[in-house]
Amino acid sequence: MNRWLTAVRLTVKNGIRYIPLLQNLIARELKKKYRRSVLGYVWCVLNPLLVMLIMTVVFSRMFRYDIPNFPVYLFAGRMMFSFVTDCSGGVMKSIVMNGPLMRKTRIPYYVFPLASTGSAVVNFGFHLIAFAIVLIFTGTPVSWHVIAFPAVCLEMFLFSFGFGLLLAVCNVYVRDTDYIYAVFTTAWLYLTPLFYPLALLPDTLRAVVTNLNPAYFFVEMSRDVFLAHQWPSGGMLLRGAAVSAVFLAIGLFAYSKAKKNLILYI
Amino acid sequence: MADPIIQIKDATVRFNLDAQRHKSLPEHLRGFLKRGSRFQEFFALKGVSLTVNRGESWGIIGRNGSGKSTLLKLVTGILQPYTGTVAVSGTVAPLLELGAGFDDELTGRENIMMNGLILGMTKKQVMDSFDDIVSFSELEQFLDVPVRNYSSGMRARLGFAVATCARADILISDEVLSTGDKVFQKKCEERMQDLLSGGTTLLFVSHSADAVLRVCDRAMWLDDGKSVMTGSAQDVVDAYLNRN
Repeated sequence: MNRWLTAVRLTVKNGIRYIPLLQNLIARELKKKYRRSVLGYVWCVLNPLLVMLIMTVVFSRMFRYDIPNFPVYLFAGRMMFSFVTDCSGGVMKSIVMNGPLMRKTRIPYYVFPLASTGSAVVNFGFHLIAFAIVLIFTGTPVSWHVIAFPAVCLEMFLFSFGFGLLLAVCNVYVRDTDYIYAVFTTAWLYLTPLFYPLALLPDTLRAVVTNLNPAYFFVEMSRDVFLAHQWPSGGMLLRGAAVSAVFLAIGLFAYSKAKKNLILYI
Repeated sequence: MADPIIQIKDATVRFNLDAQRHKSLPEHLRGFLKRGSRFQEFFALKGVSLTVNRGESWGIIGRNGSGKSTLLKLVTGILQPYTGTVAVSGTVAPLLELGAGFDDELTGRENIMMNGLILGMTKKQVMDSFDDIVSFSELEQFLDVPVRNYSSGMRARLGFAVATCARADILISDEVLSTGDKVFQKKCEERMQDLLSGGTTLLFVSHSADAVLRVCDRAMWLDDGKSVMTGSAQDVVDAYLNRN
């Protein structure tokens, strides 16, 4: 136990040196993404808005689910779900992608998953701005329950990082992880009530989704806060906390087990 | 005088060639069925020992595949020894490949900051040496051009300038002077001499015996992962050149 604590303290002490590098790596992602476009950073906000607009038109014309305030219902859910998949997917690729750098310089490997999470968080911030615009245009009032939202986000960040880290380690050993994950997220998308109401699912499937789909926990809680104007339910908060703790632990464990040999497989 | 900064004792580096090969599912199955052949090991270094004192400059010579780069990676900490120990007491600036940390999409200016941070410098240190880096690399005109448009010589110049400004205790140089013209090679050697007289320790890999003799006072000759000879640069280079 004591040895473990010393290791953690050393890692933190060592890691502080790399904070400026981390900031730089996060900024790099953003810069590279929009550098050669005319509108530049405007796309960060414009893109989710336009996608949302199209989905609203498609789903409110073609399928009539009778969901009140559908734009906010859709946007809140999609914003949370796409953070989970974008962040974990980005973290998954981060180690393999930076392999050339890791073979030539000595930077602690965890910098790359952290940088990837950081840029996903920044992107999430842009989605929030777009979301605020949707709230204003739909005339949706904001209640003081939003103060619970940061806690929901924190759970989501930790879960996505932990889950992504586990995938990143798997991806180093078996590159198929990338492809399997792409298929997996497609199934995940349809098993999360983003554009249809939860009630549409058959009973058994609904029980599975509400209890075992981590993305749904965060989607549901964001709708509690922004749409139903109520506190996220204790059960959901607890499930979110449990799933983030478990995946963070598994991810860190896999990383610490693998990090010594990682370089040989990259 | 004897102030060891790098101590490598009986270090062995092992690679599992089987794991390095990219295998498809049928190959996996085949490997699984005949278990014996699954592990194919390769020793890149076999029991190498080396003690480098602070301020010394060592040349590492040997043929392709003799383990020179592997030795440097041990000192950098990129690789861990399979057996034996490696103790390094100081900061290391690896020049394993010039501009290893360069991002093609970023400009020269942005890459200076990124590369400096990768080498362990603080933001302030990079800003302070910024002018020096720019004037040394002679890239004033091209600072705001993406590095993807740089020639290999330009990259090498920028990479060398950043790494030598990192003011690390140990500078590691793996065949970095092969790109760049004669004038710049000379400039680089002068910069290395400056650093050496300032107390930096140097590990220098080169296929050019002349360069080793000019820059280094001690040398090690590696062959097939084993240390053949260590001693004064002159003796080792002579022996290496006169090998049959």
